[in-house]
Amino acid sequence: MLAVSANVLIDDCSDSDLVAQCLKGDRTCFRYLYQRYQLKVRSTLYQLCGPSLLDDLAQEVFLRVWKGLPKLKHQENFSTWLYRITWNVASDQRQAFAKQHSFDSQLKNQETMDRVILKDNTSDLMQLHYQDLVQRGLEQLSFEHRSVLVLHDLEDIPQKEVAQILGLPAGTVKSRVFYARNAVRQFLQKEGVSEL
Amino acid sequence: MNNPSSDQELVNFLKQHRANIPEAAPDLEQKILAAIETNQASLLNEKHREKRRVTTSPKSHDRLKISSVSKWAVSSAIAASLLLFWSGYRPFETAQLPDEETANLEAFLVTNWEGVLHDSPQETMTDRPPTDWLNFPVSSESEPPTNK
Repeated sequence: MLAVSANVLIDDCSDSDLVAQCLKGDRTCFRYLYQRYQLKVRSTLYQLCGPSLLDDLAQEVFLRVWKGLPKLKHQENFSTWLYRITWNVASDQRQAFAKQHSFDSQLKNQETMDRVILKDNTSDLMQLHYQDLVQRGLEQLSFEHRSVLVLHDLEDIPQKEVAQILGLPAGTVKSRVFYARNAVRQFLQKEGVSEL
Repeated sequence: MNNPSSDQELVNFLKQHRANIPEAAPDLEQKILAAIETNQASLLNEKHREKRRVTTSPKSHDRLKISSVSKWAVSSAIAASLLLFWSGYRPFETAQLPDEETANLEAFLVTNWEGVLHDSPQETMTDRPPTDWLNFPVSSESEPPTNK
């Protein structure tokens, strides 16, 4: 009962309230922020970097957030700032992968796919097939195009905010979304998805 | 150009079939909070160490001493060089006469100059004739010059 009422209270708290409490050293409020955003952060990281090192990357994001909180000027823009950090971490990791020349092989690692399939053995095969196609469709995009598609179409962030997160003009984001959608659509249609 | 409805269909398809995100390790939240705590503790330690280094460490004392000594040395060197320069420069300056002497000198120059302008005989003529200086003084003891 207490937990439920505490959760209701936390839900009522705005991001800026929680950030203000964190700045006073309240780590419990940081835990609430983590709980509020961890799924979004993990989802973005997963779409941008794949499953390997996902926990480590999420940890890196939240550590950077904690360290950077005193520098956050507009606390009401916390979520934009958080996505920016997430994207930075993903981008850094992407560069590290590129240095190791192993990113593609890791993403295409059949073992990983097998693990996902084994985990989701209750799902039907068609769903798994489509999941695989979507994943491959995203992978064939450049990191820049994938970023806008993931943030805008999968994470439901408005284009204006995506522009702020990526530090790009709104027009560039719009054109990248257009290009990325077309590329994914063509890929899916080539793979036999007719419903698009 | 794609129409908005086909775009929406694509987005729906992507959302519906996006890969399931692997679950986080059960202790991830604790790990993150522990890392934050460690980070904060190390930051505090660093600050404390920095404070102690500045206030108590003998090396920093020495460094402070050295820096204060060097400050004094530099400032006194500048003062000494200025003094030397000033004292070295003094002899080249013309001597300052007292006011009385200056007045006398001025009066003398004026009267002298006026004398030249007015050409008064009293002051220009002496008792001796103008060619007096050409004549050799002849004394009784001295022999007259001979051409032998």
